[in-house]
Amino acid sequence: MLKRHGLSVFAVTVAALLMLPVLVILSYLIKADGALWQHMFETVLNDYLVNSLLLLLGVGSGVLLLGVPTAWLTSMCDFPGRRWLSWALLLPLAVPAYIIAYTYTGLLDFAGPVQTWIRDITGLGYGDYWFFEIRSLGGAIVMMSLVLYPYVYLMARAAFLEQSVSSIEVGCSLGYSRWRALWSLALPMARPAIVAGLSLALMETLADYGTVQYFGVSTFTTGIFRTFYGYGDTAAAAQLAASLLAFVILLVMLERYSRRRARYHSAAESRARADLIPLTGSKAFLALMICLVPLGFGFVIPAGQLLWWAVFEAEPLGWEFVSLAWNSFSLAFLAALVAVTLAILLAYAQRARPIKPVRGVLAMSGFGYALPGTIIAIGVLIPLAWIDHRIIALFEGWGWDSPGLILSGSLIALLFAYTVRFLAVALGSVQAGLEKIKPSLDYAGRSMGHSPLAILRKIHVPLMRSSVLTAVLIVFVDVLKELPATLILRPFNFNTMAVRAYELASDERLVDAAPASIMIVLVGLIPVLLLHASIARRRPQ
Amino acid sequence: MTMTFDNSKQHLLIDKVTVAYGSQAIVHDVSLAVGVGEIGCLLGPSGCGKSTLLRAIAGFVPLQSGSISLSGKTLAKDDFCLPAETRNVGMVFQDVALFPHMTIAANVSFGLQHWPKSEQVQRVEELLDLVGLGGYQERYPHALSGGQQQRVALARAMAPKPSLLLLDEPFSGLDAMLREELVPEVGAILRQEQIPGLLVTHDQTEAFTMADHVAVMNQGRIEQWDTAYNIYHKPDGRFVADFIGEGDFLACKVASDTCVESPIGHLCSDRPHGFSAGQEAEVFIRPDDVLHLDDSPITGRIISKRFRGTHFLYRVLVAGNQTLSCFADSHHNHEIGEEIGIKLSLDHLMLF
Repeated sequence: MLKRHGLSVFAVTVAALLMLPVLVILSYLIKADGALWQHMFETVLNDYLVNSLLLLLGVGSGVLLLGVPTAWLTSMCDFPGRRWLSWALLLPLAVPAYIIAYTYTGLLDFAGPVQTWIRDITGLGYGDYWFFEIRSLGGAIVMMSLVLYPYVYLMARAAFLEQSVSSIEVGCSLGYSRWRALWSLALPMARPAIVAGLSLALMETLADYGTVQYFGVSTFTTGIFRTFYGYGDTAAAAQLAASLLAFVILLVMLERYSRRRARYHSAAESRARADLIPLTGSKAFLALMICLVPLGFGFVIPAGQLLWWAVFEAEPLGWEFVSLAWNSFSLAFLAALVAVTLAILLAYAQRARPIKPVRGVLAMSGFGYALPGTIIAIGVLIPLAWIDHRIIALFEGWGWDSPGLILSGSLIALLFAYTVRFLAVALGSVQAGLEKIKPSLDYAGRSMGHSPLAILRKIHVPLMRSSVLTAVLIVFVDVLKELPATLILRPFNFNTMAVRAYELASDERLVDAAPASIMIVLVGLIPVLLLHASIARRRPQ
Repeated sequence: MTMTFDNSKQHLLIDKVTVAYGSQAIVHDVSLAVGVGEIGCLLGPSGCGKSTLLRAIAGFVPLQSGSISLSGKTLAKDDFCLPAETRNVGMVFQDVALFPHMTIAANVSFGLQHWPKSEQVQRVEELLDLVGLGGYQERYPHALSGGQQQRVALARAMAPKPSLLLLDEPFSGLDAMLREELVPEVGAILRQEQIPGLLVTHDQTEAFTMADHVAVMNQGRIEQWDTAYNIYHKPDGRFVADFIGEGDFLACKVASDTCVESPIGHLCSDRPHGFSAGQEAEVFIRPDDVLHLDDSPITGRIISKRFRGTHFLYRVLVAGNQTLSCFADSHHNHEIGEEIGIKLSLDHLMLF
């Protein structure tokens, strides 16, 4: 019995373990402490709520404004630069929001090159003129919109491309002008995809800690940090996390609902160049500008500034940087290995026995990716610290020395949190690879006298290699960029590039933060380019 | 139903096999036998359990009860289940299932891992020649057409000289023209290679073209295991009559051992039909039993017609409220609503 169900039992156990942090946080929603709520409501909660909602509203409008027109232009119109813009518009995805935030602060604050230049030209001095204050809620909205719009762009573009040419032609045959057919047919048909992209961008917005903290905007995530570190109040932090979780659940539901609806597209032949609306002259120039704005402000300017700082102004890199890089890379690699190994085992468990409990827990474990790092970190810390204190009590009871916080104070906590957050990414890639190996391939191999192990080696390993490598790579890069969970859970004196860049920036040492930041951006480019390659493979243009 | 077999002549013997997923039985108490050098066929609508039975023979699905043996060797019996890789049973799949990362040669020699290299090369060449794909050794599956891929799959399954070849709807992914060409060809190749086969299909033309014996399956049970001729002309039960070919049931009253009284007259069979005089019954009439004769005294009114090139298929209303189908020569073009003369040409009666 156990032998036959071993893998299923394992899968359910792993998934249950990964659900633990969320369940811990959810439990605080139920056993809410009335007095604590009352106090938080009177003091901070209102601020957190209003700011978080404004942030969602602002970033939501921002990503739609940047993402939909660019997707529209690169998929429906033909103008000079369309081809390279269609992938270059994804590049801002490689820049974490906290990095773009402090890069623009360096550019735009009083001592920065832009304001200095204005003063030099006009002769005005401090206080004589008005200038946009980047370190504000508005600034946070702009920063996040600039790096999160690719989610909307990607989904909207895919939807536009998958719409069959004939549906537009039907519109034209019924007397619609080309533009009107596009507006009244193509856009509504793409709406579910756009909403799915929007909800992904909003999930990232809710999860952000670095940007809002740096800009001094009080939201749920900064509130969780302040409550946790400032007041040392785990219960209150967990309650805030639970409220944030309620928002996230709403967004996840919105995203899943839209995705289901997004499936009504037709499997049409790819759009030929002739089907694009040709733009020339001023129209082409306008289209080019519309696409260049998000690309320029979202990637070229911040990356260029970081590169400038890192190469010409930052202190020469020393051993500290090497050890930072080593910490980051080895941690990210280890996390990727753990997540992908678990993903492979889970995917095979489902394949071997696609029974309800296994399918269910697999679907649930995909939820982790939507969870803000702060929620996961608190949810991991509470149960692990509890176990640690039991262990310590046990040791002391036996008259031994305390072993210290062997779980919550070590890399184990961090790896656990990363697995909760990024397993879904690994699982997605591995499952996509495994789906291509139909069961009949196994059957064929076995009917020709090969043992299951030989089939694994000769058929599965070669066919799965690329999707497994992709999974490792994506988790690796995601871990490298991750900030809030790492800040909370890293062992004492253990620094990564993301944490160090953030700390230096917080200390106003923007220039010195640049080398680690540009490194993170460059590594972050790899999955973006991979994404582009996989889209291009699917649809040769 | 119960069957008895002369075990000595039987190659594949399936005895009272039940297969279940969870508590739901998919194959129910099924028995059949395929003789040496024969091709058998499991025919039935989708979901009837035919593919599951095939999988049980291959060893991918365990039995709940019963036994399966091949040339006297037990493959599976109750709880015992010989692993698929040790059964020496080849299989061709509906979705072809060629290994996409291997060349055609590597695919075909996949089951020859214990053969010396030179013999492998020779066997691959021999089989590719046999399926008409000589010289394709170094190509990859994606470079081949659907029909070519299925030929490679056949060559691959036959390469290790299996003692039985299972074919799981191998032609259903192909277009009609290709199927017409490939089905008799595959049958011929199996006979030439002396490999007994068992085909699963829902297409009766395929079944009749390839198989010596056909099992009509319905809801996990075998309704009839017989030659193609008998399945068509002596269906064992309403389901088989209805599932195979076209036809209509006509209410009638049994007159004698061999004759019945029907709305279109007195019908007689050349052998006893098994019902006793005075019983109410239904006689099953196929369109090829109904001839169109302009001067026949029995007439029917045309309610629909379909032109099929070589002939017309008329649906006619007879005796007020009974419908029959009738084949007519393609130059007998009549209008809907017209009364036409029909004549029954029955050798034997199928009564239910």
